[in-house]
Amino acid sequence: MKISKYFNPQQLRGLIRAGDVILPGTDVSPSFSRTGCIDHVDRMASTLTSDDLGGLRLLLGLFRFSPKWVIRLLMTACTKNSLAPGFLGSALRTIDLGIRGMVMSLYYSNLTGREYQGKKVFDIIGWNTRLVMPHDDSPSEIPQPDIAYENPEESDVARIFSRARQAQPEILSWGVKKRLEFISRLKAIIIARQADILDRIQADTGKSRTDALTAEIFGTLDHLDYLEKNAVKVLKDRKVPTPFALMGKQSKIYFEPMGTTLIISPWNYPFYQAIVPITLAFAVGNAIIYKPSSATPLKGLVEELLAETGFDPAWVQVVYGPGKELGRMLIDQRPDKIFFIGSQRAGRQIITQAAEQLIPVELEMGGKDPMIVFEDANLERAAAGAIWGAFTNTGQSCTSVEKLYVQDSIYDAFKAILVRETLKMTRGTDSDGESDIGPMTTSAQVKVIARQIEDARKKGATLLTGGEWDGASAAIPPIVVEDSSDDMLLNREETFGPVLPIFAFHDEAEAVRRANSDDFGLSASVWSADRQRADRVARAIVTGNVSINNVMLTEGNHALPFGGSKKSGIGRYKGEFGFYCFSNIKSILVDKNSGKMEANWFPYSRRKFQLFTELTTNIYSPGIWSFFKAAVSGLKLEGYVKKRGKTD
Amino acid sequence: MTPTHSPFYDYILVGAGISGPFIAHELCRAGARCLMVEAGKQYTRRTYPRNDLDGTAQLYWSGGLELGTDARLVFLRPKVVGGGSIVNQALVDRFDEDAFDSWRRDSGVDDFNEKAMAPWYEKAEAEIAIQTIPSEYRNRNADVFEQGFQRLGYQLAPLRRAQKDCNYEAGNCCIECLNGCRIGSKQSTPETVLKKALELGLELRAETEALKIDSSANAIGVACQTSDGGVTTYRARNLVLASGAIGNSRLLLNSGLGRRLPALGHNFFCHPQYMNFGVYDQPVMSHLGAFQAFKSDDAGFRKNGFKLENVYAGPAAIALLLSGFGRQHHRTMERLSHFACIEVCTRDTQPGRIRVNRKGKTIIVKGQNKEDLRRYHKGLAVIDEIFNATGAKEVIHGTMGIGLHLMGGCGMGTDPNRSVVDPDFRLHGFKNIFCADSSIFPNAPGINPSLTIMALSKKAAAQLLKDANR
Ligand SMILES: Cc1cc2nc3c(=O)[nH]c(=O)nc-3n(C[C@H](O)[C@H](O)[C@H](O)COP(=O)(O)OP(=O)(O)OC[C@H]3O[C@@H](n4cnc5c(N)ncnc54)[C@H](O)[C@@H]3O)c2cc1C
Repeated sequence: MKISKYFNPQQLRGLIRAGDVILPGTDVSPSFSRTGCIDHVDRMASTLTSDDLGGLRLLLGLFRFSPKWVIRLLMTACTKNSLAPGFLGSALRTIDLGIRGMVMSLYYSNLTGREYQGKKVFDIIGWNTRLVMPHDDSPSEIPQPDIAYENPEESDVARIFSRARQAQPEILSWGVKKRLEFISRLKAIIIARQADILDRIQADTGKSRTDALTAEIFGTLDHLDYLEKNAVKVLKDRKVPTPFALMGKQSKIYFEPMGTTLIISPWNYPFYQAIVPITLAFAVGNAIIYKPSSATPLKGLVEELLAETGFDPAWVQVVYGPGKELGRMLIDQRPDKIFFIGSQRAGRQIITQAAEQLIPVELEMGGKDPMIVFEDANLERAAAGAIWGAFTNTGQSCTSVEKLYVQDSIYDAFKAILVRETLKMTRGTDSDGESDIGPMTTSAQVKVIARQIEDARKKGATLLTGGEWDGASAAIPPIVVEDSSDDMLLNREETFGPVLPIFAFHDEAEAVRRANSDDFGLSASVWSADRQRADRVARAIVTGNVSINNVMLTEGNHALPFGGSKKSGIGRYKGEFGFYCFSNIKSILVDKNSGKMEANWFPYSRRKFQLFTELTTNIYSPGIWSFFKAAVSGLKLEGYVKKRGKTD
Repeated sequence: MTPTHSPFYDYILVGAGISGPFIAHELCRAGARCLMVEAGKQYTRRTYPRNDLDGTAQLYWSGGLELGTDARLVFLRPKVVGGGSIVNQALVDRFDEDAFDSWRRDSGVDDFNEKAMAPWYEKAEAEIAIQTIPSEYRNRNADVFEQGFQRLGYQLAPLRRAQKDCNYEAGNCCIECLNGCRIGSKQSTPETVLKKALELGLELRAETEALKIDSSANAIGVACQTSDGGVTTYRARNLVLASGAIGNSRLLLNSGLGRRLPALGHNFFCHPQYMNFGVYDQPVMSHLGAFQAFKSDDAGFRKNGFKLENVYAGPAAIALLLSGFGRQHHRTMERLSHFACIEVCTRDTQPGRIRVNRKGKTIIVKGQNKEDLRRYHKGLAVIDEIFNATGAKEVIHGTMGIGLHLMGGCGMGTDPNRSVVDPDFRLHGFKNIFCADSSIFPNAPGINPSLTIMALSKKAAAQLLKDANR
């Protein structure tokens, strides 16, 4: 059943029930519900008057919870309407026409749902009219719209954008609540198709099944759940206080979509990073053009799920192609907003091009996230956290732990646990959930890591684990590195792989200083039994997100904003701020339509200046007495303006 | 006071149905600057809806769900560029002396007679192609009609349809054209006079609904709701109302003119029509080919205030007309191809009334008195006779009355207390507001109205031009 703009799911179910009472089907005719003709209900609802629509909604809402015999009774009463007197008779006739009209028109217009396989109604009733067109301007078949494009050319891209721009007002017209129906539907479909989605993710990324499940499926569902629960609240028009000086006026904030949003996603969490920004932008009312990474396009998956949900093909269009060239073409079309997750290099290119066109940009880029373990931390837990934080998704997370600082007093004990546990890790692209990490997703990244490891080794670092890696295989084992230094590539550039350098520090000040020593600032974690110390350090680290006694967990709560400081990113998304990221936040000030003139408008005069000075001083001076004085000056000023208006 | 920068017109015409384009064509030909506003959308042969659901939803006011207060009649009120001429059956008949006599009697207008109207009918007929259906293209539904009439000794006549190049040889089925003719054969106004008027410079604004007229100043202002939801006021020296029976009354009432025009909204008629079906052993295939060919032409029927027509409708409409629901209903519809159909159309005598409520919503009060019902039942009895005489196994009476010929509300007459429009097509007491469409009908003629609307519009246009030259 498609989502309707005019009826909620309950009412649609009511219509199905009534439809099946009226047209239950026979050995030759399908029932009303079987044909799926209800999918076309909006085609008729769109032109009804609001009164008629209101009546139908009420009735269908009731049908939802009425047993079928009640509906049958009502319809029978309608048929026998001539027996009913006056008003009751006309009410019955109106109901009869409304409900039967709806059901009959849908069913006997030969319309069916997408899944319907049976014989068409027209074939059953023998309706075989035809019309040959002798004229040149005979109707052309409307081409089947596609939602996805592969390696589009310049002209295709222009078409994609104009289609999105045309569709956007339609998306907006559904309203937030209705858009959430799509989100809920999508959520249900993802739940139902988990296994299939996991297969597709694993096929493209090679990651372990559990990594795919927890980060991509669970994370995505969690986000959709957050949208369902919060979008209406956050995007509601807001009233804000109007100050004393603007008395009698009203101030409001509207949260409107930006328009057409371009979303460019990375390859490390190809599913999560597709669905999350797409649905967020959609919830606000944007049309979306989505470009997945060419390394892990999950080709066909996103569009398939959206189509199954009932998204119009123009609402979210997917474009496949090489990042650099296609990205440039897409930005040339001047999207109203660019949302990008990926590497610094690509991010810089995007913001440079966007700068020429003054397009607002949101960038989520890499990090080199520190983890700081104080001596009073639970060592077993912290070590397990470090291993997961560094190696989950084979280290291919922008928020992976890439620097582990351990207080010198516990360094050796901690290291022992860390190495012991790391060696226990299992590897491979599994199908049963038994593997911890998979191989690397892209060969380019394997090369980056090989270079960093070789450089580190050359400059005197020690590999506590993973020394057996040949520097070429994508199946990189988890590597713990000791004795690395700041001049090594490993500690200057983002690694984005299963490599964890470990350092000893002496005190809090040193830990903070070293954690802040690079250009990145995406996230960090602090481990300590002393909550005050942990909080102190969390504040002192220049970064976007900090987990205390946990790792990478800020992302686990969709109410928290996500984003980087320093060169890790610009802007915030998710949570309340995620909505803002895709919104044009509009300020409205409403005054009355009266003959009154404003005191601060022309003409200026010496007297007005004096009165204004008095008012300014009184309004902003403290104390109740000033408040009264301000009121008096306000009245004086107003009286003066009124008088001036008259004498002129 | 918002100044309007929009141009100033000689005429604004409200409604692009049948009357509006016929008048606009003449005015434009004489060089007048005209604006036509139409609430409905403009379709082309390519874009007309292709099934009953879309047709009813897109081509009619309120999605086709307009009911009288007692909900016994459904009013199908077209809302599309071309108005009734897009969706109607294109049957074009001149009125007979009986119709004009009753009009003259009720209106006091002497020009309502066959002779005075003949030249205007001729002019109207010259704008459209009119055909009867050649016998080889009549379908079996027409055969049933003909046979029944012959067997029972009633008079019938071939229908005159405004159509050309229907290309029946290729198997075309005219019933498809009830949601707009996709092959451009039906002589709707967009295919005929509207097209010419546009070529002569008529400005047409579709999806623009007139909300209110302001006649307080010398020039007339028409406030319109435009497709983007905004309201724009257009101004002109003269206004021509052509928004149909319900449309005109509604607009004038919403403009607060009810007091000045005491008869406004009164005397509304609609020729209630009822479709009935005979079910035969053999397939009838009423939907194929030229789906209608005959009408009754029987003096007895005329005297009794009804006529019978050989018509058909789309499956959704028929399904709705068959009473009841459930398996029984399915079974009946499964035999649809065995249906023949005859419609009884009554000449209603009880005047209805069009009002608006405080919110501006239209309310249609239209009852049927004993005489109206008697006429209906008389017609029904003849239909039963015909079906039985031709071997129908079962006869089904459609349940609902349909009002397709919406007429009156701004009746023409000499008495300003009992009519709204004077014999010169001018609203009583107004210098520059005119009307010649279905709303000026003083009563129900019992004959298809559209040709007479065309003729009256031709006549009105001549009158307007004469006034303008004076
Ligand atoms: C299904 C059907 C079959 C019919 N069959 C026949 C037939 O076979 N023969 C026959 O003679 N007659 C037939 N009729 C009747 C005939 O079509 C009408 O009588 C005729 O169209 C009336 O013409 P009109 O110009 O007065 O109004 P319309 O054709 O109704 O045109 C009025 C136009 O004004 C527009 N309008 C209304 N209010 C406003 C507003 N406020 N602002 C802007 N625009 C507005 C409407 O949208 C409409 O398009 C049929 C009618 C229907 C519905």
